[in-house]
Amino acid sequence: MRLATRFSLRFRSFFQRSRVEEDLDDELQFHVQSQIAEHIAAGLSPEDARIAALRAIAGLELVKDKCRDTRGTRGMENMLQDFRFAFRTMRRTPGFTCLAIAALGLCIGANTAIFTIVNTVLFRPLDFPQQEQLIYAGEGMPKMGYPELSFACPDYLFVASHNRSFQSTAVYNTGLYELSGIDRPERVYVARVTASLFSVLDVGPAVGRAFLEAEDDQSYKLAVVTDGFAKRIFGASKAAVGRTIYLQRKPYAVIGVMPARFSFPLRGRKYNSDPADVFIPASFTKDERQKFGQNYDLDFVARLKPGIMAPQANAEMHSLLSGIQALYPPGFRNLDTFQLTTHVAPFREVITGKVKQPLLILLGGVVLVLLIGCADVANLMLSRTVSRQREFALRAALGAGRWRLTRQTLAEGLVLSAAGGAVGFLLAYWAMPLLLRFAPESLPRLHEVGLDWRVLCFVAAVTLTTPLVFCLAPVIDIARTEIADRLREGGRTGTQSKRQRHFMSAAVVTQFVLAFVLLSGAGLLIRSFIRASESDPGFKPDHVLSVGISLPAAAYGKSERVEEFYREALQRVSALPGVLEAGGISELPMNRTGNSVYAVEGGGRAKDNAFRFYVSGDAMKLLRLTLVGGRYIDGLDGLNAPLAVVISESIAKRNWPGQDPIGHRMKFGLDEAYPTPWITVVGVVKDVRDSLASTAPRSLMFLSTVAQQQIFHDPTRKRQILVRTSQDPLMLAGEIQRQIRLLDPALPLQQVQTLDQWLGKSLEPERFRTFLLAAFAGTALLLAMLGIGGLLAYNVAQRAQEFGLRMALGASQRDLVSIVVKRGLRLSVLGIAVGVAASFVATRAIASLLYDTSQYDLLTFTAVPALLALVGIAASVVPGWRASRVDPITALKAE
Amino acid sequence: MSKPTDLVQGTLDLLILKILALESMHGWALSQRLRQMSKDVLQVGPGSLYPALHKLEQEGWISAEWSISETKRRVKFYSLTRAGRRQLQQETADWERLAGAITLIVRTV
Repeated sequence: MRLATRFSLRFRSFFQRSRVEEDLDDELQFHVQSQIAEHIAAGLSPEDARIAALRAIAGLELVKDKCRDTRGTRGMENMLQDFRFAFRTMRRTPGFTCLAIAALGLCIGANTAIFTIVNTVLFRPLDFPQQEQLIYAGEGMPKMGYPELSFACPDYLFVASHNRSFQSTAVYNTGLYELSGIDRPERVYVARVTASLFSVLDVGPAVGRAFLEAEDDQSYKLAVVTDGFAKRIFGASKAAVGRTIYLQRKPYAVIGVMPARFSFPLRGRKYNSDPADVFIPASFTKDERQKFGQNYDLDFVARLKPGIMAPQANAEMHSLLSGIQALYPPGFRNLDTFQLTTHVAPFREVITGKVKQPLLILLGGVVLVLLIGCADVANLMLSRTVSRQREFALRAALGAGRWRLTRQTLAEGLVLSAAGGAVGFLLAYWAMPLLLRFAPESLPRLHEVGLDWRVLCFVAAVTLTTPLVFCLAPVIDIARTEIADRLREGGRTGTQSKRQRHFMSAAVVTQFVLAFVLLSGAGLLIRSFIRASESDPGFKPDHVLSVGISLPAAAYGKSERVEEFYREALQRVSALPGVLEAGGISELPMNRTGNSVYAVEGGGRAKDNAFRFYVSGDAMKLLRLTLVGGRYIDGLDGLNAPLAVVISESIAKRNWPGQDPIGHRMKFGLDEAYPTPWITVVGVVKDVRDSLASTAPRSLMFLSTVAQQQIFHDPTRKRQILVRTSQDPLMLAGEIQRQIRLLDPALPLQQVQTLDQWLGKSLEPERFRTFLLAAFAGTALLLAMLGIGGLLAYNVAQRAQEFGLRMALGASQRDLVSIVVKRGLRLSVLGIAVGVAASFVATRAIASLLYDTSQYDLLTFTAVPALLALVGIAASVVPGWRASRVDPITALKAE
Repeated sequence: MSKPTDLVQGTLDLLILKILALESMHGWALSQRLRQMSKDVLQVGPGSLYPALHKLEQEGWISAEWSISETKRRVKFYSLTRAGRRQLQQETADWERLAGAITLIVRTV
């Protein structure tokens, strides 16, 4: 009851302020009138009575104010007043306001955009129920040169049936399959998954059903498709169920359609990471189930039992491995290099692990930009504080305490940052789609990027904390200035105090330091990017076109049939005008391909493994792989020729150090006794890395497709047809596609790309982060320039009188310019000096991202200081020029 | 600025509550009544009286009502609420205890 009265009174005093004020006025007026009436009754003249009454009430306004104090809404009213005042002040100085809001908007916008990406990729939980229970596990044989492998089928089956840590376990792998039975055949990503995958992820089809454990068997050809696929192929997700699609020319019945937001596998891992359109049962063959030590190509995902953590599962997995190891054939177990290891990690970490560091670096960079922007705004506010000295003095004289003045400053800051935050948010909202278009396809969870409550909290937090940063200096200034000093100085137009000058200089120096850090980081990334893109890939990509073809086993069973197709295709393509050379290769040389252990003659057991590439025709010569010794595999390495292999340098160094490897023999398998044929080394080429930006050498072997058939008894159905052309290779793309369709009209349209395009794509992640950091550095430079230019211009305005005096006393214009430029240079040099030291520390964070570039790269650390010094000078020339134009008479008369 | 009229801290509240307990009245009348009842000893200026009234109103111990005076002016009449009556009892008891204690000390020879 009492509470209700109190509340209603407060409510009234706050929201019906004018009514309440009127009441107060009436009440006190009545008192005065009564007093006057009494005085008149006592015999005073009306005039004297009024004076006496007013004297008795001793300052009507003061009484009112004391009454207002009792209302308990004073704090809120003051706050409103502060904000109202802030708005008014800002409207009076539109230049300052626009500049500050633009700077803050730009910085907050950039921060919001980057945080939105970082948030989605790193912070947002995966879009699966209880995603924290999901783990990823891999195998490894570190002593054999495979520190990290995916799972092999028999190993998975053992873990699936023996573990106690998991509710359910699943494996999957993906591949491009030929999709036919629709208007135009195409290639789609298909994931082969165990039926348990859906229960591990705890997501089921939105329409229809998933396959059952019992259907994960050779006899069932079933498919679950994504919503996007169903809509694209069948028009609607409901229309898909019950239809038949042909994969690799075998019929599959569509039994379910996943929900629209479902996407799996997630990008982020190097392999098996392309989101699939179609899911089919893994249906392991008898061979796959039993052959230990082959095909580590299944990605393992499992759901932990409640209460069990990844480290516990890891421990159990280790003990399971010794059980698996015992099942391996003796050939393995006798190897001293045979030792299985495992690594279990939360699924989300595995997906995002590779991009975490670059993303956090970008976030750090953009926060630095924000700090530089804050320093700009802080200086703007400080300089305004100085020119508002008179106003502050007046307010102090009228009883505004330091706290009130501080609150006033903070209110102005908050209004600025709120406007900046709104501008920034809109900016980020508009710029986001553009930014995402530049983002590399390999960035995990790219399609999920969007706003959520975390982004809103981030924007709110940034908006609320930035005023604390940029108001810090003005507020300290207020707190330190004695009110008495204010009043004393109040008579004059404000001049800068020593402290204010120091604050502003410090802000400018800080800006230079931060800009230095960003510029050197961006510089290093750019240098590294150029180095990587200009590095020798080990072959010549120019003027080469590649067309990927994968022949379905259902139509191309026999090896002769496959060889015939490719022979015919190469002949047709070679005959095209403009084609200089043509050849086929199982996989482009930087890509992942089959990998085997091998033994060398006289070397005992296998020590190393190598990636196998199979070539037909003159593909090796066409690629201009750098030949170190011997010869290429060519068209003459046919059916009746002895088995020949070309190895890469790292294999030569490892197995025949200091010798010529040509003429030596090796075989695929665990040891010399393995039942595979010997192969003679006929040539050595340079290693080809797995990306232009990677430094790790890879062991490669090149054999003819015929030799591959003789050794592994399985034809090379998937090949890249390569052509080297005299002019722009893309001009031939259409014609090549047409020739291939003439050979087999059922083959899907193949993706055609030049090797230059393909190489460029492999640098996408590096390009993206280099571009972003460079953009941040550019913004930082601009803001720093604004900062130092603004400071000097302000200084000149402040010291106009002094300059006038100097000029009157005989200083030349050049003297005055040099005073200003020297001050600018002094600040820049100080910032640069500290910046070098700070950068040496800060660039450690990106050292591991650099390709063939030292963290202390001389060029970067020469160019950045030079650039900053130049900016410092350039920014001080205009204010300097203005100083030299000061008219001594006007300046001296001014006060 | 008017001093707290040499009144012991807080006693103004008690006096206002006491006077309003007898009869509802407006601020001017209250100040007159205070003077009369204390035989001109206590003179409370408007600078203390009105803030005190407003404070008591905010506390919910007195309530206010507007009416029109004989001179056709809007007048704010204060009256004691139930909570105010309880507060008055409390403060009266407190005052008697305090006054008794002070008297005891002052009278000791």
